[in-house]
Amino acid sequence: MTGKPSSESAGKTPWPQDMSMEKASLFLRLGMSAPRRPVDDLIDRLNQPDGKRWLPGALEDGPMRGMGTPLDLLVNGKATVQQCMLIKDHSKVFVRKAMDNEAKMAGIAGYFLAIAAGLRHHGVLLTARERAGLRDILLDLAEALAEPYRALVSQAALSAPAAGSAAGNQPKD
Amino acid sequence: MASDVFPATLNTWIGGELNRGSSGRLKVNQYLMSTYAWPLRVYYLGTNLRWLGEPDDVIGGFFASRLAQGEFFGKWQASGIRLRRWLMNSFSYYLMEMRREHRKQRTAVEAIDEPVTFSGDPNAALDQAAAVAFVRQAMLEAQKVCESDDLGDHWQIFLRHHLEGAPFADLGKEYGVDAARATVMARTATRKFRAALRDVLERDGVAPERIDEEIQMLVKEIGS
Repeated sequence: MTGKPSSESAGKTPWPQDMSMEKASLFLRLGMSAPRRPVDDLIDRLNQPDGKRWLPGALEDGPMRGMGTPLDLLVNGKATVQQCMLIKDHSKVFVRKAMDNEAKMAGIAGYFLAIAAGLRHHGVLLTARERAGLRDILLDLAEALAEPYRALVSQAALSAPAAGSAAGNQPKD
Repeated sequence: MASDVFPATLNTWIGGELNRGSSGRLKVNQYLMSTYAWPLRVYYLGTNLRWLGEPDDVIGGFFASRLAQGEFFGKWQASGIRLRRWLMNSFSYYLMEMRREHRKQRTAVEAIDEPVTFSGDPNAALDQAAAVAFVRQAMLEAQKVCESDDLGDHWQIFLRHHLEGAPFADLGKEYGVDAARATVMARTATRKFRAALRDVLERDGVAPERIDEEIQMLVKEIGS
């Protein structure tokens, strides 16, 4: 840790008498479960012991086959907007045609990493379908990724529209 | 003793701990005092018997009396009601017992055996206080989990963002990470908090598939 809380009470669990009803309500709502999404299957896969190592190879041998490395294209931002769109579309097809779960997970990973690269490197939102919950999806996905993928996706999440928000960049499909 | 064996089918954690013997019972007792002392205090201070003693002493006496009874939790399980409600009802009987004891030591001036009454709706007051106590208990448990998983900074960023409203950009600077990383760190701690809160509610007797419903009810009850 490089920083310290700025006051004595900062970062301490409050006593019941010190917690406002508004704050209690906020924390209670944080306890609500969310419906399961396709990205949750990918997160489960990434959280397996070999998950972090699995990802780059799964992309290179899967939806990004013959295109280049995910590190260069998506993380380092060498893919143009059109290439990001191509990877995203290719990944969608890959998910549809997947013969097994591993291929399907690779397709989902390619899809969201391409969207993240579009947002992070080009400021362009490549999808309309996930628009409402995209920020949450990317934050949850980032949590399960290793660096440097985590930085790509978490930084993209900050420019993605939040659930219920009308803000964001122009969707491309 | 066979009569002390708790039916673990209805509430896994409490049943499991009680079946472990005295160390498990101690753990359950500590948990109940940590979680339910506040709702019982709010209830006690709303009753006509709040003159019986200092809240901490009265509530401490109640827990000591009831938790020593081997069948206490079995009776709760058989009742099918929320643990907080069961404790409030038991506490109400305890207050009447205390008053009877008190009367024996006094003159006839206090001989009128009036029932325990509460100023307002006791169930609503209990639920409001329990909501806050559940959140605090979940915070304590999630913090412990985070710290044992080497996620202490994650917990601090989560708590300070949601409790104090500190922006992730500022927290990131304090903890030596960028705003995006701070956001994800808080997300990790949120997951721990969510699991802890759901455990606390389950221990109160809420079926896992009804926890969201219970949360919505508590949010509505506290009116924020």
